[in-house]
Amino acid sequence: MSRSLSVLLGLAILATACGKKEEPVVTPTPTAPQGPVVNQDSIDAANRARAEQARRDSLARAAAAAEAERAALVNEMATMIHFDYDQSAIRSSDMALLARKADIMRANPNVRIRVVGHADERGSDEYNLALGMRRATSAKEYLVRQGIAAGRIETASLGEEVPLDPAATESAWAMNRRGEFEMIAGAQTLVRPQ
Amino acid sequence: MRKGALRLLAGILALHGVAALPAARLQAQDPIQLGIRYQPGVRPGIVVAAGAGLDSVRKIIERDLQFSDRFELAYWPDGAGPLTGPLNLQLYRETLGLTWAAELRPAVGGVELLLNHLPSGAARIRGVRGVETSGIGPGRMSIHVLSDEITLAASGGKGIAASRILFQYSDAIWSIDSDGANLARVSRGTGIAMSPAWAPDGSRVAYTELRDFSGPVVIQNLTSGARQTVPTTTGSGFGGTPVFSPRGDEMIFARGSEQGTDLFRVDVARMCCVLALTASGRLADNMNPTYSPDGRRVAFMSTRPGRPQIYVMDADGANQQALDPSAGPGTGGSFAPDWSPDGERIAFHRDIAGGRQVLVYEFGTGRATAVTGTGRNEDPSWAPDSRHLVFRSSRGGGSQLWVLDSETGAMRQLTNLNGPARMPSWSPSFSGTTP
Repeated sequence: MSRSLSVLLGLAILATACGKKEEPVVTPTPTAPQGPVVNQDSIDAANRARAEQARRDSLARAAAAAEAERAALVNEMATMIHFDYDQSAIRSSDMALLARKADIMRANPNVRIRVVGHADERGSDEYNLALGMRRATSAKEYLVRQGIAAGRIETASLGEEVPLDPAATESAWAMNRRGEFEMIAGAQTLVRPQ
Repeated sequence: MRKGALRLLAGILALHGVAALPAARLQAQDPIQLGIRYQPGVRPGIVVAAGAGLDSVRKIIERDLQFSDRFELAYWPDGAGPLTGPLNLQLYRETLGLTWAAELRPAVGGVELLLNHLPSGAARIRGVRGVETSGIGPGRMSIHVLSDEITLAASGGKGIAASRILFQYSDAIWSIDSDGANLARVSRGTGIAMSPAWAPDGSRVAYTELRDFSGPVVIQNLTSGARQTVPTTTGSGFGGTPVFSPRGDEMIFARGSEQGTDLFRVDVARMCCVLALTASGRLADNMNPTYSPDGRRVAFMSTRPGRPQIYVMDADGANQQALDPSAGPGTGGSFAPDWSPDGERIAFHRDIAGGRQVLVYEFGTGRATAVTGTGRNEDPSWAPDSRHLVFRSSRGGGSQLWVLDSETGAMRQLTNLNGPARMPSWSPSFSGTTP
């Protein structure tokens, strides 16, 4: 490049530089210090989750309570009654038990039960089959008098064949002279009588 | 006596040429003992001698004759060996005073039996019998049939060897031979089986089966095992205490329900046509029927007077009357009657003074006598000879079956099981047939 041309180029560059306007120095406006970012969606989601969990917990507690109550009602229905020697009459001490069973059955129309009569080992083996049948029938009739439809109650006898206690003692015999109750329908959903 | 018995033993051994056991070696302390028993009443003496290979048969027959309670047994000494030559009848007649001598020898087709009447020298039985000689399993019954033939010929009385007893054990029905051998399970169901009863020909049994809160009466063929359920005994309630008629074409059973427990008759040949024989309904329980041997009357237990009593009625249900409840000791309830095969007695059990005893009511006298005295004894069943009874007893501890000779009072234990043996039923005699 010739000397003159270089000088011209240099002058041109200089002219360009000098031709720019000097931009004003902008000083940023100061702002308030920044805190954490609030994500409302996350908050809402967490709240919903907590609420849902609380709802589930509440349901579980309610279910457990209902199951405990159902189990208690099942236990009440399964409570045995007992009989005097060679008798099938309902003892006065067992009447409240039977009345309670009737209450439960009235509150739960789907419940059906089976009553099985048993005897102790005295008396002849076969006579005790008949005695067990009388005992089961006696318990059924008591419930029917309490307003339970007869068709909801089955009866059976096992005589002396299935003792709770095989000992030949008074206490064992007393335990074996019994009526057993089993729910054969409607046991899954039980409500407490009002 | 023992000295005399030992002399006899020496004599027997000598006369049969058993030189290996000279009389000088037999001392008073020797364990061998002749089974001669001296009991009140006439009991003819008898000895059973057997040839080679028939020792098992001899022993079974000796025991059968012993259990008949009709003879004085002169046991063949085990060390004497088999019978090899003619029996010295004079020895037994004059030295021991026996009346009978039975000889058993191997023969084509079985065993030759010669039963000698010693006083007259006559042979009362001579012939070959088809006998299973191993002495094991069902073939044992053929030996028992032989025993009963000897019993009848030598005593005039019916033998009981060729028979079995059904009973309940461990919730099932089992059978056992009258001598306590051949224990076998009979019932095939899965429920609790009870109250077994024989058909009169011994080919079927009936029993109650408690299952799924029902209690039908089941009839089972002993050969095929096929089972039938008696009509009207299924469903709720139970069918109990079945009994076949003497002809085997009908059955009476108790049906228990909410309407009470009454007796019904059914045609088991056609398995139909159920007819009520009692109609106490809720007022009383009627159970445990037992036919008279002519099939015209039935005895049963009823609670119609309050306490259980024994009643008798016509087989069609007419003329129901109580046996005199004051007959015999005690005033407790009377249960489980069984009519003797000769028709003259009914055995039953009664609660007496805190215990339970077997009583026998005699139609001829109208009296009932206790044949047991202590403990708890129940559910008697007559043997085919109308003399022996099997029953459940607490004697000896536990609850097992015992056999009683009602004439002498002699008793023997029949079962020795790991649990209670209950509700025995003695079969008819199988003599003449071998089931």
